[in-house]
Amino acid sequence: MKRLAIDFWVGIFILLGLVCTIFLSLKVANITNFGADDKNTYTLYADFGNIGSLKVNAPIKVSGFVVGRVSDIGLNPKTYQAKVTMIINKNYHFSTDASADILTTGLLGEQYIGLQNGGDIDDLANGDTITLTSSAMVLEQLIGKFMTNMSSK
Amino acid sequence: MKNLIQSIGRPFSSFILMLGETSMLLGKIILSIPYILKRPQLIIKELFFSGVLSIVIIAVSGWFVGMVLGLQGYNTLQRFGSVSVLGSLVALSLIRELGPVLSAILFASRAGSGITAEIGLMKATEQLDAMNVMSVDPIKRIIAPKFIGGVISVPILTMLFNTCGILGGKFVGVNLLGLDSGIFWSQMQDSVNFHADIVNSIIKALIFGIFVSLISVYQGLSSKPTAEGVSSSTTKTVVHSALAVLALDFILTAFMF
Amino acid sequence: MSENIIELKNVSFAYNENKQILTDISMKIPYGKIVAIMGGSGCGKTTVLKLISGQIKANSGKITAFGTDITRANNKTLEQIRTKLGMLFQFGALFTDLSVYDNIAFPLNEHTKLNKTLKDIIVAMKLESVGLSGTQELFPSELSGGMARRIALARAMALDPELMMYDEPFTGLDPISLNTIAMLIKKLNDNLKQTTILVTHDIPITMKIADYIYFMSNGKVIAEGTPKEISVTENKSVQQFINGEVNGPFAYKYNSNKSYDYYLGRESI
Repeated sequence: MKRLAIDFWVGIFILLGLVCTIFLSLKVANITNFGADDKNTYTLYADFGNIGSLKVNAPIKVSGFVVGRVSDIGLNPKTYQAKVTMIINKNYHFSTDASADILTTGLLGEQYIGLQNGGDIDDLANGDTITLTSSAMVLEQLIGKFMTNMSSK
Repeated sequence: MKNLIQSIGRPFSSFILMLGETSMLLGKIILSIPYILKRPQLIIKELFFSGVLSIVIIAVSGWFVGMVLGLQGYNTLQRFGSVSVLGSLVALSLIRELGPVLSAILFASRAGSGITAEIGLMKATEQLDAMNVMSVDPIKRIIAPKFIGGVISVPILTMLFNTCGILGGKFVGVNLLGLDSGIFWSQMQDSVNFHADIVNSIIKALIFGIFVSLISVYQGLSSKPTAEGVSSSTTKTVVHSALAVLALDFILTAFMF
Repeated sequence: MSENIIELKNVSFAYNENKQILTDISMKIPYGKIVAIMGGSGCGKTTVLKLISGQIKANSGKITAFGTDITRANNKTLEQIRTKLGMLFQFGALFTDLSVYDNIAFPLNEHTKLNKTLKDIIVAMKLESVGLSGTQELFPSELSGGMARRIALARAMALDPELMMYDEPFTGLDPISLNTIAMLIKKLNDNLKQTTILVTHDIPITMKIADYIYFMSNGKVIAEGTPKEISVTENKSVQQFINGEVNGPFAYKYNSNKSYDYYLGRESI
């Protein structure tokens, strides 16, 4: 009897570990959304003058709805602008004149990329670059501008 | 003067000696894996004593740590008006740091000390010698299963700790303080990454498990065969494990995140 | 082949340089006899057993067991030799997490591929031979000291060893259990044609059952002979030990470099 009871409890223990890992993977990390799976996503690029503190894996939102993630951030050696690689869900398409802004959640929150669709008929294809971009708000620059405005008055 | 230098050198040389002995022990344990694979019942028994019996303490501690994180996080984030990121705060602190570290330390004090005391007492009552005379290597029969049981248990317990902690944080944030549960979960999902966070959490737990289990069996084997010796080894297991886990955590975090 | 199952020739042993445990010990253990090794506490008796079972290695000298020199044997030969010897530890050393049945079946499980029925029979036989049939399901914590030692004896005999070694089997037992163990040792030795090494400091029992006695003190053999020879020996240390006198060659006082007066404050060093 004793051995069977031990086997039973150890089985429960292992199952518990599995259930917890699945919970963490699905409910907490949301592994189902935009995984490494290439089939459901396509890639877009955007160059920014300043990305502020944008991180890899930051969300890409349209009207606040998450449609993709930042997969890589590099520097364009010709223009010396930051080159951001974005992975977008295949279900959503954007016109060639769509714009990308780096926005902030709350005053000091995480930064994300907000996409705004344009009016063009053609859609951006896999590997295209978004040209209309606006950089991150940098607090020091804002304060600097504010100060110069104040002093010039 | 000579005494002074000796007293500086002694702890250092005994530390080196301990490192050497521990790695030799680890080598012997690895060599006895084929023997263990033929007797899985030995590991199942150890999983019961070090894993199953730790479920309650890990779950309860995780739940409370999560609740405290929820409460403290809420109070701090409120000042910046960003309570919406409470979910990410709780989940990331648990998965990246608190889960593996606290699980490993709790494991050391709940199961590791027990392993040390059991091996120490087996040594004191000549059970290990008796096994040796029957030409059964106690490292294979006693030490290796305990070690492997610990190495398997710690990651499982860490996952349990993380889960209970996040549920505890959710309980405080959503059920007590009235955050929206949708925001709580989606903020968490936005910031927690499977590969960077959860897989690394498991790797951390695995490494902590190896160290804590190794310290436990080593202290048991090197304890003096007296009541005093066993008790001091048990204390050493908990202290050395806690120090090793915290130091390793720093190194691993530096490499991982 | 010599007639001795174990031979120690000029064996010395020390754990470290400062503490010599055994100096120049020579012993012969002939087949089929009960040989007792006697002496006060801490004189190195148990160390001799550990040397014979290969748990520790001699620093110098030669130990021959079953015709093999074990001071130079590799682990494999040592293991083969160990399966031929059984050892009863001072307090039995039963595995506390295993039942009586599993304790006795332990060497069978590890070294043989017997099936369950056969193991059941062997365990029952061994238990019967120590007079404790029916205790299979008990755990060591439920046994008295004397019973635990008899179970341990059954375990040591599970593989029918040619040589049995007993490490102070009489310590801490009541007179009845003590005589039971002594009777068992004698019976097993005679019936199973075993050889026995008995490490003890219990004089009357040893005089009764031993064929030959080695007397040790401070890591040296100071006297040897049959019980009769030992009881009439001229050796002062042995006489003191046998008669249990307080004063004699074995010092009653602790050898300290500070005198009694020093502790009373009458004298500085």
